[in-house]
Amino acid sequence: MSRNPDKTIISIEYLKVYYRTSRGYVKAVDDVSFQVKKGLSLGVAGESGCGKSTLGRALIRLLPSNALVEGRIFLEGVDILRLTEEEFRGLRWKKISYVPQASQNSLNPIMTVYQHFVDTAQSHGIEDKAEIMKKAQELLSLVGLDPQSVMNRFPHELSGGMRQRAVIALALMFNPDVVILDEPTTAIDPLVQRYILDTLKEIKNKTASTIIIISHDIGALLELTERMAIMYAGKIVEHSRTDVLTSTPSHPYTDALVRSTLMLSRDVESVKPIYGLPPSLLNPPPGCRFHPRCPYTMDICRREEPPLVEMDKDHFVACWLYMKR
Amino acid sequence: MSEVVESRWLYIRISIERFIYNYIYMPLKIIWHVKLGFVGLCIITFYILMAAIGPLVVPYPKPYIYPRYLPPSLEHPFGTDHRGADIFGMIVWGAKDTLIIGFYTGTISMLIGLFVGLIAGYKGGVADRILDGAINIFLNIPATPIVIIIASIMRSGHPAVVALLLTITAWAGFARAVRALTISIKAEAFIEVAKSLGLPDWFIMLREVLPNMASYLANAYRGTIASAIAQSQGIYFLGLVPFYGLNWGIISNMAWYVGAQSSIRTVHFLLAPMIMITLLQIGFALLSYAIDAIFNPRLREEME
Amino acid sequence: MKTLIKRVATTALYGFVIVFFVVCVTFVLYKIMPGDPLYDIALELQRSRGLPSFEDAYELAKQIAMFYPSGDPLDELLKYLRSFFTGNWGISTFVVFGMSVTTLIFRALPWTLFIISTSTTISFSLGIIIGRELAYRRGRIAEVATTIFTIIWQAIPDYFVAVALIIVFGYQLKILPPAGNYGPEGEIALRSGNLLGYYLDILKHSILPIFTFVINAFGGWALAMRAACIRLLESDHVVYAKSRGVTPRRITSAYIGRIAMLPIFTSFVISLARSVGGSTFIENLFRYPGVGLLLARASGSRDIYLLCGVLNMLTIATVTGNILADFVYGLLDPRIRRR
Repeated sequence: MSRNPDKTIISIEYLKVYYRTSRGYVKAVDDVSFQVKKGLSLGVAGESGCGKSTLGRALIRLLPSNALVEGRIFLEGVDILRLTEEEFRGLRWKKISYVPQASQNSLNPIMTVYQHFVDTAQSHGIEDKAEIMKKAQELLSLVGLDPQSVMNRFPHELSGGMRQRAVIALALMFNPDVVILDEPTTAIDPLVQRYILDTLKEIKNKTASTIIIISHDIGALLELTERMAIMYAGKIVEHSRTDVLTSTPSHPYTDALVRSTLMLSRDVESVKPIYGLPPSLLNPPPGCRFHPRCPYTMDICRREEPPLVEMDKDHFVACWLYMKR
Repeated sequence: MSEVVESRWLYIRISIERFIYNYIYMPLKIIWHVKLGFVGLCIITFYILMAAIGPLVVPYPKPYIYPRYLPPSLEHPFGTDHRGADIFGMIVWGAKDTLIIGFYTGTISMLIGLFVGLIAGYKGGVADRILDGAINIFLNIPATPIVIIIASIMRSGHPAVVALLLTITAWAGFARAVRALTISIKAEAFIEVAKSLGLPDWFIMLREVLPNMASYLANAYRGTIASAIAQSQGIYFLGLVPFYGLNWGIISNMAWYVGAQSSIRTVHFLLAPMIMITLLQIGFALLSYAIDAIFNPRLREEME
Repeated sequence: MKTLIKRVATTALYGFVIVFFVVCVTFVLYKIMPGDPLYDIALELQRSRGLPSFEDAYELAKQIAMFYPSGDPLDELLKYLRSFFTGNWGISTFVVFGMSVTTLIFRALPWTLFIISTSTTISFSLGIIIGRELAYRRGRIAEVATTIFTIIWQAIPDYFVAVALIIVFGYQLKILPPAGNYGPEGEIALRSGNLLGYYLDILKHSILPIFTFVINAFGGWALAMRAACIRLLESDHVVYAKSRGVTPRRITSAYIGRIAMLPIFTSFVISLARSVGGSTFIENLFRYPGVGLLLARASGSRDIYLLCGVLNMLTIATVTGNILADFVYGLLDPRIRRR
């Protein structure tokens, strides 16, 4: 598998994910379209509740039963939303895998780590125990865990950091084309966070997979990703190279987000909070969704939603500030 | 698995679904619940009236007056038994004996359970450990053998006795639930407020904690009454306890022991009391929907 | 493993205390019971053995009995306890005169265990399969059907179902015997050394009682399993397993089924043990000679030794069940095992 930055591996078109609740419809992902190039790592950032986790789960079809989905998601040319469950199951983990948040109880409490490997392998037709064992040892070492001591442990016997790493190891089992990580550094104490970041960097270098990291930790994304997409209230507001985006953000929200993050390269004084309340996904504000909190609001921002436009090469922004009207 | 909506008509579909949900489905669901509850209420009221007023209206079922084993008819809605007594009369006159056990057991076990549960949950500490231990012991005692054994020692099958014996095992269920509820309510803020105001413990327990478990209590009370009736009538039916009066279990017992079940001609004797008991149980079960409608705030919220 | 043993030991100790407590209670029951069983025993002994004086008969009775009134309650209690723990539970005074209580109980026990363990196992197995299926079919119709099913099932008293089944199968269709554990055919088979015929007759007589029990009981298991599975359907590890492409069958068995079953299985083991106490109704209705029928006959004739013996037996069974359940749960749940 070679790195080929010019080839698109994932193409999302007009994706909408709405959750049906007793209070109405929560528009978690509202008309999102973008493309991911093969081999590049992408970060999806935003506040809690902006829809990024939903987007990640939509990519591997893990949405709950009250979700309504519209649109298309192309993985290497195949619209995975239109496949049957069984058809997609064959692709799962081999083409695209998922690393859940550490705070979730994703590992089966009555199965050992090794058994998770066996389960996954057998479900995809691999029965050779020796082969599975070898692969498991290899992967666990890769993430910095000692295979001998971890293999036969149950999830409750491992620390949060160890569980997170085990889950990363599992995700790499079949050398998938795409790996999606949902908040890999959240809910882990800072020392272990550092270790996980380093591990992920190493993995990035060793494998040729396309990595998508969903996180609100801009600092982590800066270290790990080449491109970044910023989400707000279910929409993508900016999508560009990471270094460009963080040093010279275009969209006011990106600007505010970057400013609100404490990074080693800045003083504490320059950290500014984002004013206002997070938007309601049940009844989003009219026009541009960020306009109630935007310091540069214009009249048009209140009335019409700005489309996502390519400002420069591979640099997309959705803001009236950058459009001639 | 989520649905993938093929067309672009997502908004229209959402609007239609919301309309149907709010204005058609939810109201129907609530009416259905309330209707079921209403049916239950009717059934129970009917039974209570039967027990209270019935004997004033229906003549006492004297034997050897009418022909034996008459099938159900207008004159004898349930037919006659092996001695020619009117079965309907027996049912009506036996209603009170049948129902009263339920109310005795339900009320007494609820009071005991409340008392023990509130104290255990509210006071905590040593008292709680002891009471909780007692609750656990009594929960494991099988009800039927206890009733049989003690009733036989006392040589009495009086409904009050049977009711009391059933409470020996019935109170523990209440107590355990009340204790758990008390512990969770105790953690709420308004209890802190009451305590800091210097209100005495028993006052807090009665006026602040207790009302919050009204919904559970109402339903558990209903359930205990129903279960006490079912259990006691079963015990009488099997003749496991000395007879007293003419409750439906005893009528069933008489029918069984004269072999009414063996022939289609006579089976109505056995089926009448059995069906009455079953219908009563169904009535109690439906009543829980009425109780839900009154006490359960969640349903009310969805009505808005 | 150490924690598990400690846990089970605690439960066992607790259980022992309960048994001890109940034995003392039966002692009290004996004391407050009007009448003197020794008198009846003595009378019968005198008659059957032709003893010259009543006093001699009474002396003999004292020897057989678990204790005799000696005026000192503590002494009596100690003798009672001694008898109890050495297996002398007295002799029956009415049900089968002269036979030791322990013999009677241990003759009845196998029948009860047979019927109840078979029934419980079948209803459990049936129930969890149905429960699992119900958890998957979550359409509107399924929900309504389940609700109605629940109401009706819980409302109908178990004796009504039993009576209906007996009438239909026993008397109307006349294909299954409505009473007893074996009948004349079995008797003949046994006498002529035809063990197979004997067992077949036993089997035939057990069908109705077991069937009755299962019909009454499987609903409860099904609903419990359904509730547990529904809770698990969208839990984190099930979602993660799905993301890994684990086959639906494997998810159902290892990720949902096994975890949902953990608490339910404990209830199952407890039920098996408590069944000795819950068999009363079935055995009396079908006149099946197990512990439940023995209890009824003992209480009907106020055969005090037998009565107390059965009560003690029931307590021991319940307590044993709880200990077993604790142990089994500890084995199944690795969270407790490996600590």
